Amino acid sequence: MVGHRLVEELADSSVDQIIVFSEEARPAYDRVSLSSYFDGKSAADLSLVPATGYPHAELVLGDPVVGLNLADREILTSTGRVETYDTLVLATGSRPFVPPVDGRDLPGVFTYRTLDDLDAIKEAAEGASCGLVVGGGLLGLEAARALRLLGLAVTVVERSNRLLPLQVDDGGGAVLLRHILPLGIGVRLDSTIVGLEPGHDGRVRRARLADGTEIPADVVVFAAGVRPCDELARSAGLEVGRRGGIVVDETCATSVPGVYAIGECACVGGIDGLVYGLVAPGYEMARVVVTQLRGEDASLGTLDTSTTLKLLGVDVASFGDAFGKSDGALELVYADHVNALYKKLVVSADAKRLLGGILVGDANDYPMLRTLVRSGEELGVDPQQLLSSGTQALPITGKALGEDAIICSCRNVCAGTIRAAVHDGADTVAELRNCTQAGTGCGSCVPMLTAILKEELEKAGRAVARGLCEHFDVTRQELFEIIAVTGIETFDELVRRYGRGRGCDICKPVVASILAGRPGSHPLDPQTAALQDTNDHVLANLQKDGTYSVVPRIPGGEITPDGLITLGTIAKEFGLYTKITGGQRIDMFGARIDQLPCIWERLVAAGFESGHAYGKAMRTVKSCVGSTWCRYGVQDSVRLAIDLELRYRGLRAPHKIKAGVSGCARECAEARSKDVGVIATEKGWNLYVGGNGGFSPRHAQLLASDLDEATLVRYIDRFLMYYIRTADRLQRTAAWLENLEGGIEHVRRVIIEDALGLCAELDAAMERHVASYVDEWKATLNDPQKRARFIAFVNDPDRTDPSIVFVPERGQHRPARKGELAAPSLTSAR
Amino acid sequence: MTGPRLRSVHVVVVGAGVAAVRLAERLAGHSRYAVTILGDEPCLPYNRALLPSALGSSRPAARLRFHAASWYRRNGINLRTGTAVIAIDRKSHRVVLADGNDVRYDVLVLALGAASTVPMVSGIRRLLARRCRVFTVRTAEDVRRLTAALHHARTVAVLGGGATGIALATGIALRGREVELVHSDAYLLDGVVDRTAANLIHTNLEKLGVRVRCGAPARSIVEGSAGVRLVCADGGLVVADMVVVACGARPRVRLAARAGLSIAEDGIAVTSELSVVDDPDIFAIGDCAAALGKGEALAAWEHADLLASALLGAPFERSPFLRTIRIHTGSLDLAVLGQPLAGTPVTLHDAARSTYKRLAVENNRLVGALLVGDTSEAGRLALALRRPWTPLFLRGVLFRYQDVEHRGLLPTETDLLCVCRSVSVAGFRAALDETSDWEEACRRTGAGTGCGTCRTAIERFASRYKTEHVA
Repeated sequence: MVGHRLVEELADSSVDQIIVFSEEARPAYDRVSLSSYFDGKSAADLSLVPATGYPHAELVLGDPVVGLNLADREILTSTGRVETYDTLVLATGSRPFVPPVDGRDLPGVFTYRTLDDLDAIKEAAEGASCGLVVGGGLLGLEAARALRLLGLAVTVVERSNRLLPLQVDDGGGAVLLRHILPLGIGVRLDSTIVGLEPGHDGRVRRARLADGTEIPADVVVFAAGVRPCDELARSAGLEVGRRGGIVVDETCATSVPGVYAIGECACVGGIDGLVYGLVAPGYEMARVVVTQLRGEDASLGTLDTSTTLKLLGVDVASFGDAFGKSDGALELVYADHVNALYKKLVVSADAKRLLGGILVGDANDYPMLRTLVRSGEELGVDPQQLLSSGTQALPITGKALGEDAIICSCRNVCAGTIRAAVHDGADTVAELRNCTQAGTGCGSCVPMLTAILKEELEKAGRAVARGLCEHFDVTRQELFEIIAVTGIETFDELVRRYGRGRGCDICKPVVASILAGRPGSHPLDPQTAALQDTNDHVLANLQKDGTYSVVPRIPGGEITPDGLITLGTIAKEFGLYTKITGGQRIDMFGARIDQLPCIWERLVAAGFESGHAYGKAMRTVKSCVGSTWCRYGVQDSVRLAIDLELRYRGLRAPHKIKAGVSGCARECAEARSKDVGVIATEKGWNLYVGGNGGFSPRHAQLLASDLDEATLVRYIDRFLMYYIRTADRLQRTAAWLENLEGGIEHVRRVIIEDALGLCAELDAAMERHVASYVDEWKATLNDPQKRARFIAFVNDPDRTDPSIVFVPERGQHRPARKGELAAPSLTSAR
Repeated sequence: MTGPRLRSVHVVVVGAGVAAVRLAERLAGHSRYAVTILGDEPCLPYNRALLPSALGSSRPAARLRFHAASWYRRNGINLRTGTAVIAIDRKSHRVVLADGNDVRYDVLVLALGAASTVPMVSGIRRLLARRCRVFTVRTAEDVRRLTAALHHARTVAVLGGGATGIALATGIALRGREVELVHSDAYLLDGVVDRTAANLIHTNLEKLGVRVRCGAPARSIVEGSAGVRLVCADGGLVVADMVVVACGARPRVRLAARAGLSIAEDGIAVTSELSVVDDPDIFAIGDCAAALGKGEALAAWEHADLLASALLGAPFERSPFLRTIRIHTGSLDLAVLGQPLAGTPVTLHDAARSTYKRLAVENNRLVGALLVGDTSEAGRLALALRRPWTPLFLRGVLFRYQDVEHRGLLPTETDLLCVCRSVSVAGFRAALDETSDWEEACRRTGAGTGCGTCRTAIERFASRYKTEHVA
């Protein structure tokens, strides 16, 4: 495999001639997946080399090199062929080690390394009933699985006190056994075979153990270790390791110039160096040689002996200093024998860095943990937290992600692209979104974008911009303060004095939202109209086909029959599609922009007002039936919900605000998932804050309990105002709370105990809001200038949008889809 | 003229320890039974199980006492302290006192307790008899004497590495003495904790200044001019100013044996109803009885509860006995609940924090818990120990970052929030309703003032009660 990798990588190099001499009669195959040969995979499936061989190299099968003439740079093969070389690479691998026990040569005894071995085992297994595997390491367990698949009853005999002794420790071994034994595989630990005995047919029949017991065995497989194939090197005079293996330095060069050794036959680091029996270090060695053959320098770094494997259905991972051999290393071990899980973390003496670990039963955390070991960076969390929550405990970091890792799945943007964008000059998330499109879909990748941005900027020694966007270096909170203190009323003045440039789609809506907090302001005022986002721009929600939806406010979700009839009548008149929303109100779809003022005229005349469904504002206060009707209701939740909704309607915020009031602990209004949730108790109301739905739902946390109504309202006032003042752009209350230093405790101190002395201000701000509230739509209808905006074509005010086409569905209608546009169908009445 | 008055049944309890007081508490207020307690110690009954923690106190009995004298009077319990019983006359239903008087009984309850085991160390009995260098710890008086003797000692040897020995060793070390703890088995508290925990305890003890010797018991003791010399089975030598013996206890059965009652290997032979096999009018409870779960205060209470229920004709829900060991002195924090070595283990060993936690699960129930270094969850675990387990709850207990409250594991009405002081959930809740401050409620009910294990569970219970109680 390692030799094959070397040859592959030399594909378009300047090397003139490559000849590969192979001992086996087959071209390179995936030896790691050998056992899948019994899973239905054929030799062809396992082969790594195309049937036509290497296009750039000559492959000689079944003709091993038997002699080296290093002085003359010549090799001699078994068929007598002689070749001269400029560079010789020895990738002869290793051979299975068979301990010198009696009977090792009996028919029915095999090793487990080549496809030929496997063919022989398969043949021997027919008609056999008992299998024995000598050696409980990686290969031994693979062989055990293979024998099981062939229908034999299997026993594994292992010299050490645990299976996989090189990968797992005693504790991990005990848990591993809990996975393996139920599979019906017999395991004998602390046991050695002393002899194999034949039956009367001359084939192996049983094995004798050192403790005197006997195990029946028709097929015996030795998987008791490997020895590097270094005979060629020895006889040629190359330096070999004390325990075998061709000695190489960090460039994989042997003791003779022009000769390299890679893979399992090599001994890295002098005669007392290490022989690596894993493929990953082998590939690394191949890479080092290839790089040198291409004319550049290369050397081995620390070779990664981390392994993760799925063995017999069990996930096992072992990485870094798994056995805690480093000086002062401390171990954290979680051993759950009930669920057969084992997690061990080895940390530095100060518990700040991860040195290694062992996982059995669940290896999901392996990639991140291994990266932490290799990077050597500080954990930043309590290692016990890492043990319990796994990688979820870690702060979001892009460091573990390779260039190909997809960061934004909506737009299919990988980490490499983002890093490149940062190197090209992007230094805010906004700029990243602009140039890579990442984060412009659902937005859930933005935290990771931010993390990668920070990391790349730090790496490049550049400062992290904490400002809102390229036009403002200050944060949203700071802008809020600035506007409050200076009394600035227009965006232009703000950007001139405190920012730069002309603004963008990030800062303009933020400023608009802040300015909307000023009493008497209206989103469509001249100085703010142009700042608005799409929806606020027309006080309606844009739909996929260019129509808008209309949502009148239905406070607390309570509506009279006449109200329903009115809405129904209006919907029918304008041909609108109606649906009840999650916020307990009615949404009417399919309105053209020019129809909006007419529809709202009717609604306003009937006493309805804007529901602000289009804004980053207070949306609804849901309610349950409450004590008025419900058997269980403890307080009048409907009345309170209505009062709250009428109090906070029109309040603009960094993001939408949703509230709910439940009349008892059964919580039918689902208040716990709201930004502000109120639940009735015998003594009053419990106030919960910071709940969000959406992509990453969080439950609200209890802020205070058993409040009387006046206190409740005061606290909600302050909570909302504090959030509005200090949250980041588009940050919902849950995220805001999470990022607030001190979390809910801090909020309690600020709002209830008035620790920052802000309460008077917050109270006054809310009073101003309540006092100055005016229905936006009513105001729009009364203002000809604002009303004039509602036309489809600026240069043709009387023309309506012809691309709006509906088709009937379930008694109503919906926007026509692409293929349906040709067919004539329902269009709106006017 | 009034009709014949129903005479109340006279229950005489020999012994005034943990079991005796609990029985009296249970029978108090029931006019059917008149209770007399005969205690040979001169002080008011106290909680013997907590004696090691009273080391250093000049009045340990007062500190650990269950009730004031007035309580006995108010509840019609005839408590006679300093009254030793020397014989039982079963035929005439009397017990004979040391001063020659006798007391008649209808029902006799033997609550004689246990005596300290004297280890097989040649020469030790002589020294014990002379009451100078060698001390056993069984009574409050023993502790008072020990405290006094410590003033003149610099080095102390403690024989026995069980719960009592460890508690005494740490208590003495905290008083600034050099302590050497000699334990015959391979590791401390073996059979009770696993190797990992024993190693941690060992390390902890060493940090406190207690040298630990395991694996070889003391074999002989010789008094010298400046203290004693102990020779251990492995040839090791321990030199100390004084020796404290904590090698277990054996049931006191002589009174029963002399009265012709059958004696089993581990105490007075009793039926499952704690009635002595040879005499329907005599019962045996606590350490002197050959009944389940000995050597623990909790077992004594269970016996007393069982007997009281039988006498009162009330149903007694026999819950499986829950062993509890709690040591919290200095930096050593240990809690053992139930059978942590049984079943299948789930363990968390954090070497960075020096904590170790082991939970044992059997047949989908939590059957044992072992906490070293961080016992804050002991209270919750004690409640959880009789219930089916859930991985979610237990992960929250093992790892301190997930405070998951599982509904099924909240205490129910009939649970005892504090086992030592026998405070039920309902009782504590009533106290909370009155004071709304959980610590005040503890003071009023006595909850959490015993071994203290339940305090964290109580605090959590109280805060949950405050925020979420719904009619």
